[in-house]
Amino acid sequence: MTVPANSTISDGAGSIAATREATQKTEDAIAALCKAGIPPGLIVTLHRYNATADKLPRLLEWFHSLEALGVRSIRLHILEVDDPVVRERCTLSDEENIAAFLYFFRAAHEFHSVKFDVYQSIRALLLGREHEVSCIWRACDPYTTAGVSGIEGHGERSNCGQASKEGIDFIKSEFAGYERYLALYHTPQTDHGCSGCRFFLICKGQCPGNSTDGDWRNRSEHCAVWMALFEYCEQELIAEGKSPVSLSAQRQLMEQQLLRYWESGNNTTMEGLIADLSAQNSGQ
Amino acid sequence: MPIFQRKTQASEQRHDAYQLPPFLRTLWVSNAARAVWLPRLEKIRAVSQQLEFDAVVAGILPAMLRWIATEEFESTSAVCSQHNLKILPLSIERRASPQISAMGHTPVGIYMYAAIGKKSRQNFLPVRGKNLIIKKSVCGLATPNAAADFMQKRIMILQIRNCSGWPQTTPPLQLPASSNSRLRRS
Repeated sequence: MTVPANSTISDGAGSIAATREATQKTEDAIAALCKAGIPPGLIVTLHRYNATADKLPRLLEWFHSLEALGVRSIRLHILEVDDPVVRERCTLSDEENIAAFLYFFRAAHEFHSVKFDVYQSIRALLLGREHEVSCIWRACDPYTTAGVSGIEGHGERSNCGQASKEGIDFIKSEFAGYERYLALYHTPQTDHGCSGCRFFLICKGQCPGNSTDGDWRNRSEHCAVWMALFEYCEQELIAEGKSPVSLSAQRQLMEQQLLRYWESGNNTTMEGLIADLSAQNSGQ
Repeated sequence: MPIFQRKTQASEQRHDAYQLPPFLRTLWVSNAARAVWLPRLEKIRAVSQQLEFDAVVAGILPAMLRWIATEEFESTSAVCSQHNLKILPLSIERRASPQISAMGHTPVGIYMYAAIGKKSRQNFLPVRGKNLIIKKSVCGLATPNAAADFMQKRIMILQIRNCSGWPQTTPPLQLPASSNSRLRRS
């Protein structure tokens, strides 16, 4: 379930009355689902109308109320922008996005049953547990989008809408390819690539739907945000006495192995890479 | 802690030397469009391959290189024999199809890399102008450095098309260091 935000803090869609009426319906549906014993996971998009510094405490309060209803999972999204007007009016700056995410990362410990997806995912990735995370972290091929399979009006299979930037809902390509990730690994960061980044294994340039200029050949336009969050979680894990993959002596070997998978038209997880390295080491 | 890891000179050089493998991705606006255009594009692709094969048969080209699915090797050999051509297996690999179709690459399978040319008494593939010969036994899988051999064959792909005939002599089996490193992956 994707929710723009609570009606008392977001009036961004049309008139105030219309927004509040629509949001109330959404909240009623959440409550009904929780009451029926099938609590929904929520995706909450952060934007200028709900996640600037002055609004964060109210958004946090709303999350607590959702936990009381029975919601167990909340995924925070950065606003996807395909329109310059939306970019100007609704987006948060990198600094504001970082502040909002870190606000909820720190508040995550206040929640007993709600898991904040991005926080959990980044920590899991830094510990080499990729099977727990969503498609945005797993080298999504924009022409096959393994995480999303749509069915269009004529029964055609389509991809994740985030990857469609040309106004055409192309049908799914027959075969996956990982050219984006091979190219990003070798492309300098000054040219919108990821070359030399110690977080590449974790991030892989992130979702192609949020690539700079809407061009999937580039890395995510939110790179600075993700980098700050990776560093926050990296430091947190070090303080806990754990060893993040980003600082592992094995990192470059894992990267090279991952590149070999991609060059052969395959993908794998960090668990797979670790197993490969273990097998290689035991074979020596 | 700095946001970006400091890059070393070695890593920069490694990335500069990298060449993205050739690829083709195809997207269709609808199943109907695919049904119309995929067969047409496949026919065009097949014609270009057939033209290359016919050029070898006619002696316009001395040889050609082709990836063949292992299950198609027997039938391909038969066709070659009919035209008095020799097929020389160079290596076998499990990989995404190197044969780019109008749909893009096909899924991972077992493919044979082979040279097809006029029959000759010598088991050599020539690369004119580079003083380079790759011997059949060296191109096989049982070589001490299979990866290096594979890259050598890539060089051969680039150059064999300019070759005008089979060589009469056998130059030393050695690659120019500069061309070899150009194609090496990091």
